Amino acid sequence: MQILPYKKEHHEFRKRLREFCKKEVIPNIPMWEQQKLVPKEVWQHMGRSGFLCPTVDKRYGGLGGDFLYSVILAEEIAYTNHSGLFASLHSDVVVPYIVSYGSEEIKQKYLPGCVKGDIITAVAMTEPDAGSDLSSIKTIAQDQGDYFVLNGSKTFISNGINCDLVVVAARDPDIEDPYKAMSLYLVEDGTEGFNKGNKLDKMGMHSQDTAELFFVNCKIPKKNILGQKTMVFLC
Amino acid sequence: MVNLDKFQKDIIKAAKEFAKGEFEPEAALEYDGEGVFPHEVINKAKELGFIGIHFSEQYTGAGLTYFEEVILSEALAQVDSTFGISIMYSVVGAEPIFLFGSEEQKSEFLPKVIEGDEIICHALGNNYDFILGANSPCIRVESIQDGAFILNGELSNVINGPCADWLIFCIHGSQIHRDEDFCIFLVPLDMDGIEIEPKVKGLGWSMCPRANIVFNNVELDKTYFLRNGYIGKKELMRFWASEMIIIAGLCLGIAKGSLDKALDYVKVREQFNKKLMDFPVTREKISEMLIKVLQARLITYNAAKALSNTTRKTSWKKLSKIVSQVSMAKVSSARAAKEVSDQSIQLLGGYGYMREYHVERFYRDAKCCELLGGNIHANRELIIQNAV
Repeated sequence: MQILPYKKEHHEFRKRLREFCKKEVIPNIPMWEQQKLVPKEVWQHMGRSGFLCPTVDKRYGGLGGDFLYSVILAEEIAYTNHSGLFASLHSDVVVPYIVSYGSEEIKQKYLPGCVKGDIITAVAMTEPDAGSDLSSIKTIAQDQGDYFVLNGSKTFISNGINCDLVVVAARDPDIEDPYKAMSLYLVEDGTEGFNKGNKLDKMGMHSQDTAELFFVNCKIPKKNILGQKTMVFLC
Repeated sequence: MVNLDKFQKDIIKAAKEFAKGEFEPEAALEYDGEGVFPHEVINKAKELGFIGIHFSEQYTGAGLTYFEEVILSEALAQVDSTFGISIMYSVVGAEPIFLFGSEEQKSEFLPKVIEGDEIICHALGNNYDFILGANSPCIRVESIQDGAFILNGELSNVINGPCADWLIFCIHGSQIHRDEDFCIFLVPLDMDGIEIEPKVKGLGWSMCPRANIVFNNVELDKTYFLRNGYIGKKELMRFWASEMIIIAGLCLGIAKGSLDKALDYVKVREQFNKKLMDFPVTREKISEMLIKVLQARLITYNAAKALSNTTRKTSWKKLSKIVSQVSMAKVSSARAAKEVSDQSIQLLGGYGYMREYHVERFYRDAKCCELLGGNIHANRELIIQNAV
């Protein structure tokens, strides 16, 4: 009996992905584990082969598939016995923020790159003093008319070294209630004031480039806010 | 509760002082990362008399018992499990000489190991399958020429193999028509025909490098025998028990050491404007951890005391019972070590997973304790065999 309603297309997707992993992923894992990084080219190769962001709409270059494709993606990467190529985090955690809350302009700007693997994404919420208690984050985003200015530091950020685009949770310092003060912002790699720290030395997941991220007077365009301001705890 | 006398308390105090002074956290990260055998720290432990304390004074030991070895293991591993394991295990290879060696061998080798720079490794774990009723020889007797054995084969995963000077191993008597015995050898590792193939670092016990030791037509005559060359099952059991009790002691240290780290953390870390210690779920976890540590300690101390009272003359029946107790101690303390260090990582959250917080190493070392000294299934078999 088939519990999940996989169709022929799903099985074919899994077959192609498993072939890809067998050829392009598994033989390289020992090297990636040692280098503590998966080369960006692998992400691009994977994206161009149609395996990243399978649920993203065809308008943005995606497969427009259902969530079963995401399940298959998660399973097959896990099956390779490594976690550096954290495609599920990119495809099914971070990119959906953009899909759900990004303006049309933002979607057109970033989604095609996310699908092709030219843009690797990360999400930055955890801070040294804010783990389970997200409301206690200290990173602030100050509204300065034409742009937001971010200050603060994040830690344990998966894809932290490779990321080209980060969804950052930050507080508006002018709002007292921590649950109302928080919003999500998109920060591009290379933005002045955005710096990546060292790769963190972990118990396992060695090829996963978990890192600290720092924001020092990091100016980002107004349009890079995701969704409505202060909506983080409301949705 | 177990009452320790003043002397025993002093051992623990001295061991912890030594460990806090010598087990440098930075060095631990480096040695663990690269799988380095900490020669210098071990030599300092030798200078201070922490090595081989249960060996008799005539062989430069301290004339103490397995019980003191256990509390020493616990104290060292509590401060840093990987260093502690390396120090305590550096002498386990010499145990067969202490238990089965001739007088001359004891006088010659034990001082070299206790005070000198030499390391003896053992591969008696390769004979552990015997307990499970299997007997697949790693080393084959190819032929016997003029009383000398010609041996081929491979001993796998020999701890301290890459840095040892001598090796103790045995072959099952069935290969030489002595079914009831094991034929035991003490050989220099630079001998013709012996090849040492270092293995890549494993999950834990990273300061105890491992090697496969390959025999290519190695010729051993009776001068390489340990004692007269033959030991019985009972003697081998005594050796295994001595190894298990040390590992059990190390596990107590792992459990207690990781619990210490977790306690330090939950007392200061705040989330939701409260110390972690003030959350009911934390209190539940910590109390469970405390129970596990004490349970493991009681069963291990009890078994260590029983084992300390055995001699070569102890009857098979009595020894089986004590070996069963020691196995129980090893199984339960390894389980406590793994579960408590697991929960410690959990309480530290992401920080627990980071190497620099020195908690995850306890967990990795704990897992290896379930596999070494006979894996816990072989240990359990000893318990069952005594019970039925």
